[in-house]
Amino acid sequence: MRVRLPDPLKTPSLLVGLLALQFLLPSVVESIRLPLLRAVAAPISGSSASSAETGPAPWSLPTTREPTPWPSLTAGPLMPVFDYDPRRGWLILGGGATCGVTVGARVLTPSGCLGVVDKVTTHLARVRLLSAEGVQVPVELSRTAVRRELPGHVERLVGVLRGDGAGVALVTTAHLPRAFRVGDELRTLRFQEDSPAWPVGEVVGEGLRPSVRLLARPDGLTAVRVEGAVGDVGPMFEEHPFELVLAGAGRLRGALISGAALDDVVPGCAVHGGGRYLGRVLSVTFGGAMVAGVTDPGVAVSVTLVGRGGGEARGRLVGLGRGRLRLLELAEPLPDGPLMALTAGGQELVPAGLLVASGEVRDGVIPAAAQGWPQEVNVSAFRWTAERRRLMGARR
Amino acid sequence: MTTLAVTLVAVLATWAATVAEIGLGEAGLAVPSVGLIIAAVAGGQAPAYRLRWLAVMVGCVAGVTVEGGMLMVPAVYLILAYGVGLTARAFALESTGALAIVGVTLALLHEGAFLLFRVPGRLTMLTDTRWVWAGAGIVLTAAGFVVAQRFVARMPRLRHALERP
Repeated sequence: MRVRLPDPLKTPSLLVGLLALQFLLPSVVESIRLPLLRAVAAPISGSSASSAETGPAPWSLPTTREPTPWPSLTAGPLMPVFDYDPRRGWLILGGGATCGVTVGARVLTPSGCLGVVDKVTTHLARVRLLSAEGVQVPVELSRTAVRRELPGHVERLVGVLRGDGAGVALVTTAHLPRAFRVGDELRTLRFQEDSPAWPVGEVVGEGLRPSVRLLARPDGLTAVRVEGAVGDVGPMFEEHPFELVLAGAGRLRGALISGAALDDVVPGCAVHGGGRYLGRVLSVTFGGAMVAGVTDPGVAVSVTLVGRGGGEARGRLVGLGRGRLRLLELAEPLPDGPLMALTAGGQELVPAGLLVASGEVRDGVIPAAAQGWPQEVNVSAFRWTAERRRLMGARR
Repeated sequence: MTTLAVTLVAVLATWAATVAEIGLGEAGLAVPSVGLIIAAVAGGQAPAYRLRWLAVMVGCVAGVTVEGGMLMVPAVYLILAYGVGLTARAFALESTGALAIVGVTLALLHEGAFLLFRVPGRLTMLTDTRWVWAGAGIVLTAAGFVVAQRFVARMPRLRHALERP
């Protein structure tokens, strides 16, 4: 049976159809758009690319660096952080069963215990943060740590710390809850006298359920250690060469790239050339991938800013267009003089140590290291995408 | 047949503008929205079915260059073309002044709709350093609409081709 729409309804129906497709199936529409863009822009493909500077960095610094200076809390490999999801209260680490990571192992940062491993795959592990709702960890308050007599002359107070999902935790089960005082430092519970205990948090509220400010913060974290882990984490990224098909101009932002390893690339992968960070893959379709350029307005990347004297600060750079980036969310004071901004890693699929910007910071603006797009770029494809997807989708 | 011929010419003109916009680099923002001008001119002349077909085709060609714009651009063209059609019926759009007012309003509404739906458009670029080119693009779109309306008004055969069912 053929349905005929009355004439006055045809245009509204077409409008609703167009908008519904655009908003309900954006990835499908984008997958169709990119090959069409390539066809439409065929007469000028690649020609609008300007030659990018891919020479050495302004001063000598290895492009791949240890992500974070690390006090010797414990032995074991440093495990890179890839995904931090504050809403669901977890992060994903490089290093899984092959490194001896087990479910329940405690995860440590220079500031203290960050969380507990709750899922492990062959090469990755997922960590539930102590601040996440429902996460429980046994903690203790030792007499030597507080330097005061505890009630009943006990050696230590023991309790269970429970995350509330808002960055704070509560001691929910303790045999003497009112003995916890503001300023007391809680540590992970030692099951044996000689086993190590790591700082967890500081008591900030007294009462029947003392509240605790957690010491280890996941923001901007690039690497952690996991209790009991051994061996080498191994490379997490594979480098694939790609060619520039079309560089952004006018209202077209970023660039379109193409290469043989398109199947290994997923949205979020970093694109770089000559050690310089160029942007991140936005969407992948057959025949090409769309890349958001690092200086495109609104595009952000977490960086470590290194001064000539070796001083460091962490922050974020947001694109302003025309090869300039604005410095935001600085965690520490800026080192003096000209700076180099390197990708910090720890956020999705961007490896640490790629040069993003270099030069003097003026009014919070720093020039990007790569000006324009080179004809050949590299894409850092994450090696364990299927495992990552499994961990991201897994329920706790 | 008329619809096909009109659409083919319109798509070719929009494609040329799109290629020019990308090829010119930063200055490409100054290229007027040819697709919008065509849809708007047709909105005042062509029957509804031809306008729908024309707006979707030129909109898709213009929309492929912008992220999230492939179906958004035709939708915006369609709404604005109907708006121009209604305006043309309500007011006599004969003087250059009236046409210019409609043209500027059209160009601003076009970019405003993109801004609203977060599709990269010229109003986004106005806050950027490319504001000179982006502003020129808006002005040239308005001017292009006025010129196109005048051109169609002086070409009875072309107007007839657009109007006839």
